[in-house]
Amino acid sequence: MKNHKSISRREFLNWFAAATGASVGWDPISTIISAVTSKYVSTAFAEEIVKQEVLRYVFIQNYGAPPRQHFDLFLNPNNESIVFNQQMSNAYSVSSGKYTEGRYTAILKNGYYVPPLWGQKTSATGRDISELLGSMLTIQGIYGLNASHPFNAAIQTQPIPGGLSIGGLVADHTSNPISAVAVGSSLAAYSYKSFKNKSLLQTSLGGVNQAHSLFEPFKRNVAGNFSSQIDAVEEQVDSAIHQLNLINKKYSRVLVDHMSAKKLLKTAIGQYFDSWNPIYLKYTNLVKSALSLDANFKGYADRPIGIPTADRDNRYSVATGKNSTIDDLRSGINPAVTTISFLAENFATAEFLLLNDYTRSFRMGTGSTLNNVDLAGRLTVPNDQHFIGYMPGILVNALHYRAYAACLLELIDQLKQKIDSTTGQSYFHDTLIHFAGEFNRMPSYISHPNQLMGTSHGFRGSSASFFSGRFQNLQIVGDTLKSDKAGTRDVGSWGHAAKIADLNNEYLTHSHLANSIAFMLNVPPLVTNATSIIRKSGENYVAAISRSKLVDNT
Amino acid sequence: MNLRLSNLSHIFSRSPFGSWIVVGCAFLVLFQNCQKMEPIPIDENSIQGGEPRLHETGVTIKVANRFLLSSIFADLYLPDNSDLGNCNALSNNTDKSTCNLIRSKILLQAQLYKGNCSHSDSAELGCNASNAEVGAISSINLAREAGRINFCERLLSFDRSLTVSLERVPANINKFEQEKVSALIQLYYPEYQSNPDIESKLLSLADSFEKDSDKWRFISLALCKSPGWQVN
Repeated sequence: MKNHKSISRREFLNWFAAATGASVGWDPISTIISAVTSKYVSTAFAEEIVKQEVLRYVFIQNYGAPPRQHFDLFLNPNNESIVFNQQMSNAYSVSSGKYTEGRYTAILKNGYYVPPLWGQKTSATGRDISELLGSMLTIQGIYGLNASHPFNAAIQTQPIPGGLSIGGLVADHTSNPISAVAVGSSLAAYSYKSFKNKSLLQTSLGGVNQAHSLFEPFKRNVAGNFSSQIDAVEEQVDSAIHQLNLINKKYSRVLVDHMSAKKLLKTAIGQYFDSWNPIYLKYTNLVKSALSLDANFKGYADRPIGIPTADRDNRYSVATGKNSTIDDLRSGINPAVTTISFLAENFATAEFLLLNDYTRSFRMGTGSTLNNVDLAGRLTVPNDQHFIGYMPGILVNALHYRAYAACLLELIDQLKQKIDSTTGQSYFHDTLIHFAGEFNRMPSYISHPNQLMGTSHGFRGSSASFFSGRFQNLQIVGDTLKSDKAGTRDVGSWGHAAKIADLNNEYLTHSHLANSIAFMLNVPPLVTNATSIIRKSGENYVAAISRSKLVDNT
Repeated sequence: MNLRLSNLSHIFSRSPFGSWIVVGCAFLVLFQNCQKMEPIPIDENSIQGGEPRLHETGVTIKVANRFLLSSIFADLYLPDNSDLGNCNALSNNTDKSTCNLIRSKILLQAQLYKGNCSHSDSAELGCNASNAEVGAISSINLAREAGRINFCERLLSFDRSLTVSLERVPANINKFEQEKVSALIQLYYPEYQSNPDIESKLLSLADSFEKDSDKWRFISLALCKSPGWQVN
């Protein structure tokens, strides 16, 4: 190999031209112009890969945007005296020994007023959900542009449509064997783009097929004798492959994946099932326990839910024009079969890949709030809850987030227990878990005056939550309106974004969100029109704007 | 190559032409209103977060889907007119095995290699409700490459597969002929035009094998495993 000090000018400029995407031809002036005008983009990029320590990135996307006021949308973090829209209920009211009405309420935890689910356990014998709060940061009141699901799903991690994505940047800046992984439902809505063409390994299969689909190809299945013969000539075959790749320069784009795949074939990933399956069973049991109704699930499952069916209106809606006719809504949940598709396998695959250092860029998606329920007219509760009234909504969403909390606590525990031998820090310290949908939800009649029940796309008020060992306590930022209007009528708070004094009275946008995530992950920012609203404090991250508050709609 | 910007001065000092480059650079920088040439560091302690500098984006690399891949393998390693939907019709047992291998490891692997189905496609061609939405176009990824490497190793463990593919050259498995390597490469890379550099290096690598059949097998294995031919 040549010593770099003896490199010729032509070699250098050709290299530089290639690095900046300019013509490889011998044209020094145009090459220099290209190099200078590109501001050494690619050189900077290469240097950062060496210098930066990029956090693990886990993006959990609830595609369909389920209502979040049950979990991580904090509508009244400072317990102000305000009016809530009843469609934003997150708790039941009692009458005659039954739960017969909905309301919004909050309890004090970690210095903020949070939804009552945070006072619960993950199951009858489970852990306090509030354990999550100690390492959580929520950004809410993000002002969105339109109501589209796919668009808003994409801009959670790709602030410029078609541009680089956060998952892609993490892949670019890390050298783990698998550059990026995406699992679960609705992958079509996930936008991934890497600067360096790092590929995305993905599957939309569920259950054990998720693992088979991802890892079975890495199980070497050639006969033993021939296998050893091939291994003996591996170097020659690789040399020959490199020669064949010279046939056309565009082939070099796929050589990296080929060589990485070859390396992985020699690791234990092909024997994944013995490791993965117990993890999957663990999460399956956690989900099952969380979805089991027990008397300890106070406020949700300790009393019958529902007024007499003959008296019900669209507060009990489960589908267009259809109200649930189950006497006690609790009986619509069957612990033997009710589940959340993809949830257990997604977390199992995340744990398997992250703890074994196979990747640092991981995305998972689920598309339903609850599967296999029977609410009389509704067998699957979708995340996109246009026609779910708040009476069934309180129960099904509390169960949904209870299951998520159980899985999050377990994954975080595993990350905390594993220590990085090079830094002495836990894996959780160097992990950022990003929890989001596309947007929050608002009472339907704000945008559809004739639709009196259910919720529609609250894209003027999105939110995202983060979990990391670098947060030392709960932080909630982003201001929201005290009340939104339907026409001229005040309709109470649902989380509509408010302009923020710390941002020169501008709205918090997805560009702020993307650059804040990039800042925390230690990858370059993605857009020019916003700053990070997170800053460092020692090794930890803290908000750079004031805590969340409610703002008058003037 | 471990190249740094600090090498610039060294490079420039070796030639008078370098002075022109330095002057040109300086002029252009001034012309651009004194823009910084160094990467702007991320300010870790401010809310600014540094200025973005990634204005370019990557492109997704499209590669052959399962239908195209299985068709190529069937053309190369099975007798003419073989039907991947009816492997049992083949008279030679090894051909049946090869056919089933292509079918099970490529054609039916919709998740891995993509390629969705039309309504008229049958279950024999791996079409069913579960793979109708996998997408017609495939992009490169690790699992796909691992699956393909595995497949090639199994495929070329059969002498019969090698024999059938060499008939396409045409060449004899027991008689290695250097001048036919170019035609073998063209089976995978139809656009390939004989390149003495590439061929001489391949021949030199193949030289380390004693048996002629192993020379052919070595080059065929490298061809099959090489990722370039599947790029659209």
